[in-house]
Amino acid sequence: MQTRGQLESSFQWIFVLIAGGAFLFLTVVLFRSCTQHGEAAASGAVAGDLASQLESLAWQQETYANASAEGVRFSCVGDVLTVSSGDASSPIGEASVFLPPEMHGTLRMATRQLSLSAQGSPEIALGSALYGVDDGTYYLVLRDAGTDPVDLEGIFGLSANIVSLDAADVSDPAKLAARVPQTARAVVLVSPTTAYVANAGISRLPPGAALRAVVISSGQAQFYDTQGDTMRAIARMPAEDPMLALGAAVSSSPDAYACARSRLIDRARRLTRIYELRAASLSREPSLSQCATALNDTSALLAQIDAKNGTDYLGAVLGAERTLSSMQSSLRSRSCPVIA
Amino acid sequence: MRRRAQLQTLEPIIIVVILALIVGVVLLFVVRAGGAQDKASARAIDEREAIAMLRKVTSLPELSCPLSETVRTFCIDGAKAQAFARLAADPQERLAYYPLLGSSRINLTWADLSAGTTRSLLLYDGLGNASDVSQSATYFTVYDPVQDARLFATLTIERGAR
Repeated sequence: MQTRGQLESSFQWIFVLIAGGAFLFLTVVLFRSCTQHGEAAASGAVAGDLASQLESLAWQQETYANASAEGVRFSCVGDVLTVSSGDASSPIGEASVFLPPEMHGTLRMATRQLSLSAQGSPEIALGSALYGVDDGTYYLVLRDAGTDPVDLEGIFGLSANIVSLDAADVSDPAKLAARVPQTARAVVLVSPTTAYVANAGISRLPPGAALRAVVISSGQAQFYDTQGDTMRAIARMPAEDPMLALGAAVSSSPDAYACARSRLIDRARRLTRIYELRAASLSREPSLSQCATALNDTSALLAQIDAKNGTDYLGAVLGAERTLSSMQSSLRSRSCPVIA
Repeated sequence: MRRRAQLQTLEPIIIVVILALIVGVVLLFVVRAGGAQDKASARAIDEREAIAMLRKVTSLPELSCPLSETVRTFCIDGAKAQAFARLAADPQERLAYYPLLGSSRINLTWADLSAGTTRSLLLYDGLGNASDVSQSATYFTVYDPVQDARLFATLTIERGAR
């Protein structure tokens, strides 16, 4: 009888241990899955929130904003700029957004409008683009006599991570290295000539930092990457406008630049198509008969530009800047509806 | 006496069952509280998105008044709006504006008080079969380049749930 009682008591303790262990195991599994789900959701939320913030800002004109996030990457996935955080990623749809490849801390953002404005006529807006600079990236913009430097300071103001240097200073590596903190995560050298990149003395710059260079001259942007102690040219792309040169400098990556550039072209094309339809419909208004010829001419020129293919379109619209601007001035002086 | 002894032997099992019930109730409470928080933040996001959408629509060069116009804030060019509506009627073009305007239907109504006429224009329709549609409206100025006049207008945006 005593043996049976001892057995019952042992059975109860075995049951308690097994059941207790099972509960403990289930609780731990549940807690871990909740935490992992929370982390995944947080990464997804960071990527999604940032993408929607960038997209919303990029369509606006002349805005400034800051965003904070750690370990966010920007890359071009299948012709679409994508924000990634951890395993989560989110696309930045149709907006034109020029960003550095990575973000570690604060991203300072500003938008600028691509527009046609010659001869002091009212501007013809062609869509806006957003530029972002990460506080962990150092931009060394080299000034050279006779060239127009990329005006990063003009947009983002004077700050510790945007430094303008006389191009002659790159021949003295110590002078160059003294301007960049050794903790810098990334350094982008924006140069007016290839020679300055070759002489940049990159071995004196922060050894762990990602080094990139962009040479901007004669409407072209040439991208460089580091290979050991030397800079290697990786791509050459058109940068027909100061706004695009600025985009190449900020993104410092040919893929990211190509993504944003193609979005900017798509947007500008849609705008000129709208201006073309508007001018054509206004030219048919009986009460605007005195403007009909001028409006027809405007519509015809815009139709001619719109007919150009993707790569030629931007060159065509920027090449017609003077003609479109004089049409705009002429319409205005005759009290006719302007192009835009 | 035997019943009491039986109860005593079942004591550890009863404790485990009660503990399991307590853990279950606490988990249920935590999950429900989390769900309520999610709903509240979704509502707040929805309101923010409605305001952002109104700002976006009025600042688009596709629709905004000419840069030479003195009053440009909350001003839509009537002729541009008609051209945009024609463009956005094409599903391919509408798709390009989907990332910006999303699942929404945007209507512009303007009144010419001197002529006593009202005109309505469907600017963009990307609502499809969306359910849970919320609506926001705001007052605007429509610039009519034919008459060179500024007209009173209402912009109505219906947004479908994401």
